[in-house]
Amino acid sequence: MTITNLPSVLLEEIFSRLPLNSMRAVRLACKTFYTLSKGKSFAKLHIGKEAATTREGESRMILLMDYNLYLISVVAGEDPYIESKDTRLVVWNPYWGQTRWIEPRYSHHLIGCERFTYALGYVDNKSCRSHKLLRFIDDYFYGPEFEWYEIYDFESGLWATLDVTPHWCISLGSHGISLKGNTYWSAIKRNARHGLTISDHDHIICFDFTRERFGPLLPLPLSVEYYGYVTLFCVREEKLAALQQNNRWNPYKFNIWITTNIEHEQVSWSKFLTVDMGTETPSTNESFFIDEEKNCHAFW
Amino acid sequence: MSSNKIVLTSSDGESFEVEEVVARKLQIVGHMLEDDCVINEIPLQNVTGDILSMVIEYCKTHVDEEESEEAQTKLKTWDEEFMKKFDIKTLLQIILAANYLNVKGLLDLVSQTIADTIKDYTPEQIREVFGVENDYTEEEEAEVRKENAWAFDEADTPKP
Repeated sequence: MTITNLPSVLLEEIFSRLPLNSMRAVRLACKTFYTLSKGKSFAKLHIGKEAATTREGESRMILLMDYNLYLISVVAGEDPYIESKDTRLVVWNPYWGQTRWIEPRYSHHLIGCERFTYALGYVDNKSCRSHKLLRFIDDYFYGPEFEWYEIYDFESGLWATLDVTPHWCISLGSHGISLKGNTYWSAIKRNARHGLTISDHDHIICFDFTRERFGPLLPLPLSVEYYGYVTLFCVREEKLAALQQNNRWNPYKFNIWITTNIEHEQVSWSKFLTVDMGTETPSTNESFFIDEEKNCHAFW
Repeated sequence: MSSNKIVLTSSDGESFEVEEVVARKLQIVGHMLEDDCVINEIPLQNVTGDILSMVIEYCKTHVDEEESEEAQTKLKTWDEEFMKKFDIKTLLQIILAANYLNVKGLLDLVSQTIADTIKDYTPEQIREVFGVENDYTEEEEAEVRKENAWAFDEADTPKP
């Protein structure tokens, strides 16, 4: 009697209870285990078990902090994660342990470095998700104006240039937030540059990976004044949250809003909470996390 | 509760007389009884007597699954002690039996116990304990190692 006598459903039942780190030894044991561990049915079971072991109300996610990836109590989703290195791009899928190196077609240096913004998204087909990578540079603030938008399709392995005439402006280094396959950024109207700093975002904008185009500028709940800033975050893969500091005379106080409805062309918000940090000022572009049920938040 | 007795017979002819409520924990038996047949003796061809006796022991203990936290804790402790009695080979036979007899709770318990046992094993240990052959060529094995290196390399321990 050996374990290979077990039907694959039972092998899956056992292996799906192993922590992700232990799967390496299982895959290396023999080809049968390897094939099984890469199967869709196993992935579903494993993700289900992961989800079941989280305590009620607990969320898990992957966090990029100081150039390191952290599993903060986790996302065991199938979606890969992006890191950028020199002139090549590497996309890593932490679940499968797969990497894909992508050669960009062009490089463009701005003030001495590559200033592209990247976003990973997907199209939800019936059987599986087909992933795409958006890469753009939109040199608006540091002129002369230069913009370049392109998209990479993981299935075909090909780049395509997008024909866009931006009516928006997304600041360099702005973190896009992925929600249901599309990516959202905080943004401003393009002609609103004068008198504004790059952090004065009063809108958000969505890139729709299915149609491969940007939607209209969507309003944030409050318009932001001179010293205001906005940080976006995703809540349970369903909603978007916006941390908005909008009072120049009191930078320690800010509001967090949650979407009640969000599509790539429309959005509505409700206020989640108002925070007064006393004298501790959170800086811009920080990640944050909220739990709707427990009414709490955390910053990194 | 019915005090009707049912006789379960193993593949090697060993018979066990159990209460109907206990027998119903084996869903395969439950389905037979629901088909309205009046059955007093059920032959179970894929399980030997020694394994069947353990499955019955589990079902007897779990026959009254109370909701209370105290009862749950007690059952959990019993489960842990129960699992300690078996070596891996026996566990494999029990999981097969639990699957065939359709005893969900036992299936979960044994799967978890096996998983806990193998979680720190090296590929060599996994092959040895479970009796599987390394069917990779050297090149293939190197390829799989390479593919998994990125994902599973133990980097610095994440800081909060």
